[in-house]
Amino acid sequence: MKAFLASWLMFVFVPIPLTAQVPARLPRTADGKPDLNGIWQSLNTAAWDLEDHSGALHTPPGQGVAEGGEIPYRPEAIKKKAENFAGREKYDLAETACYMPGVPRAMYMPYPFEIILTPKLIEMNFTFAHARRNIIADGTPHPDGFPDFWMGDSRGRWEGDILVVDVKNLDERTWLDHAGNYHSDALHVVERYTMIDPTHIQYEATLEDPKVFTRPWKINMTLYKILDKNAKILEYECVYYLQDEKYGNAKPVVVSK
Amino acid sequence: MTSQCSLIATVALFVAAAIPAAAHHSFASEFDSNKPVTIRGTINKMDWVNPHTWIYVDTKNADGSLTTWRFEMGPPNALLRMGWRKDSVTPGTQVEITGYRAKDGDAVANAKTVKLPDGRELFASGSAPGSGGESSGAAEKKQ
Amino acid sequence: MKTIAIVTLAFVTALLVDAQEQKWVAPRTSDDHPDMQGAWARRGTRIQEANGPVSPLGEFSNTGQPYPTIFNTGVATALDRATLAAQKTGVVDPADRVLPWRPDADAARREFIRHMIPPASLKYVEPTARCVLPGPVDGDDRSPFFIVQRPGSFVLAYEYNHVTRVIYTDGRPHVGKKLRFFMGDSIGRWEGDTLVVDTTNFNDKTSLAQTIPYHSEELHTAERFTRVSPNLIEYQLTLEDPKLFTTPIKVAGYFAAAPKDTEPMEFACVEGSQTLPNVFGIEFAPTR
Repeated sequence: MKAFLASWLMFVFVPIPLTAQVPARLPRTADGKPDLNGIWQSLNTAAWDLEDHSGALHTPPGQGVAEGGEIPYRPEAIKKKAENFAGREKYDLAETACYMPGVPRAMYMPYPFEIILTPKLIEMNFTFAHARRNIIADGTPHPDGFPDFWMGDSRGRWEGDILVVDVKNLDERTWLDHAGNYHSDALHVVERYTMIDPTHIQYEATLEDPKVFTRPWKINMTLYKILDKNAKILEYECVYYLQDEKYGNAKPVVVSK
Repeated sequence: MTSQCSLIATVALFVAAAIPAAAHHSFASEFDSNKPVTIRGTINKMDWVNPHTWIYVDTKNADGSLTTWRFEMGPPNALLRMGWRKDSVTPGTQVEITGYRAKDGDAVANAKTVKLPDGRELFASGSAPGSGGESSGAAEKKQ
Repeated sequence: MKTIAIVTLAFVTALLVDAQEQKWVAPRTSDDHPDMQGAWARRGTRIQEANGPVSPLGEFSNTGQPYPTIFNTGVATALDRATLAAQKTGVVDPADRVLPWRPDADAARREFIRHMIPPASLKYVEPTARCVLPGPVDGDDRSPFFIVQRPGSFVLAYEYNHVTRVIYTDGRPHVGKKLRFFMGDSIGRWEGDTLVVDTTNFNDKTSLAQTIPYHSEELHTAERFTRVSPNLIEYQLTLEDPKLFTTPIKVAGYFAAAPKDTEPMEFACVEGSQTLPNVFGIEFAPTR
């Protein structure tokens, strides 16, 4: 009887992993929100290709971040994607010209970025091309009639402890990765940032673009906090180096007298 | 709101005496300061291609043929803050544009002033459709 | 009766005088520093020197601006004319604006400037016309600036070219000497209600003014930000570069409050720059 009881009690009192039972205590800002301030980076190879990709020349391997595995292109859009892929060493403007990489690509470029969180404005400062996102979180909607921006127009709000960011006005010249995955000017992205513990954010983005995709689809990945002492975002002014390479030895068209 | 508007209406805009070359351009290397142009015509369309706004103006030549001039303007941010939007410039609007022609001689120029037939500046503060009497971004003219 | 009237008048006058002389106190952030957050117009921080060379870059200051005037009026402010006129701007030390050039450096930059329009080669192209980060002084002040404060850092976000200076005030040191940046490496500390920012680790690739086309890696700056009223932050910049000047120079300016509803907007730069393709006849970004 004692043994039976003991074994029964063992089932009841077996320690269960904390993460399954008790959510981590999150650091919070003065106004009670999960403190997303800090330097973060994704650690996958989505910047090379959002879908599953084997190792290849200059391409590290990776399991895809798109839910369901394949991006649901419209039949005519698949051709365009293939053309992009074939011409990527020339036409991927982020890589060939250091242009701003757009959203969501900036979130998984393989360099750190800083989240600067305040109640009505969230800035994200990226190493790559010193790109910046201004996320307006004062309750205002996307303005009508605005032109497209390379990093889009972002409006943020909190749903409990989840930061939800709605992005529109994304310039169609940006790609979703270096593999030529692309979108049109109709792209609409809704991001959800869930801080799962003090040093991890679960990042999910839903992409909707009826001109290119048959249905909305999602990407999902973890953002990792950089804990190194005195970490800060440094300048990667790739445009300057590319200009030096292209024009450093060039002769001007109009010659000085 | 009223008091804020009237406060801004009395604002002085102090502009530094020597304004540096336009933000992302070396004006002198693209456009020719010795080739000023004045074009009278009708607006064909306006393109907002960040970081540029382009305004296309159809003008009739002496022989009756039509040339569409392309005028480059600055980043859209100032226009947007004034209340201008992508569709607020009406095609067919008569304008007189002055600017400096591109060095390569095409029907391309950098816009300097964009005037309506009555002399008002098209992109002056308060002139955006729907901006009402006083626009919140009103700024006094440079001294 | 008269006595009462006089006493009352004196009392009321004293109250009014006291109210006028009461110094305005800035609201505080959660870590008890002056709150300078918001949208601002930066003005006046231009280095215009006496006896400087005529810069070919400045030729349009007299003949008019190349863009429609709407792009040149800058950010409106709520400051009145009298307050603006009273602000110190430009070079304040030396007071006569004759900069303390090393003779060899002065001669070198005068020679350099002669080759800038048209540019004789890539190195003579104005850095901001290439859309690179503008360095400690430059930047298009027709666009607003946004200040954001968090415990441990002060962020100066330029709308122009999305420059973002994150100035840590957590006591950390500068980065190592080998690291060189267009905007340098800035660290900040509070001296009472003034933010003092020390910047080192500059590279030598930016310009300080139309007549000062470059500087050395020894450039070292100190900035002071003091919010003196609801609509005004006073600003002072001290620059020293022993390769250029024999003594430091001081530049004054200010940040004036922009309209309350001013939202930061993207100002893309390199994505539209045609300078280098036009100068060299070679496209930079391929177009299809």
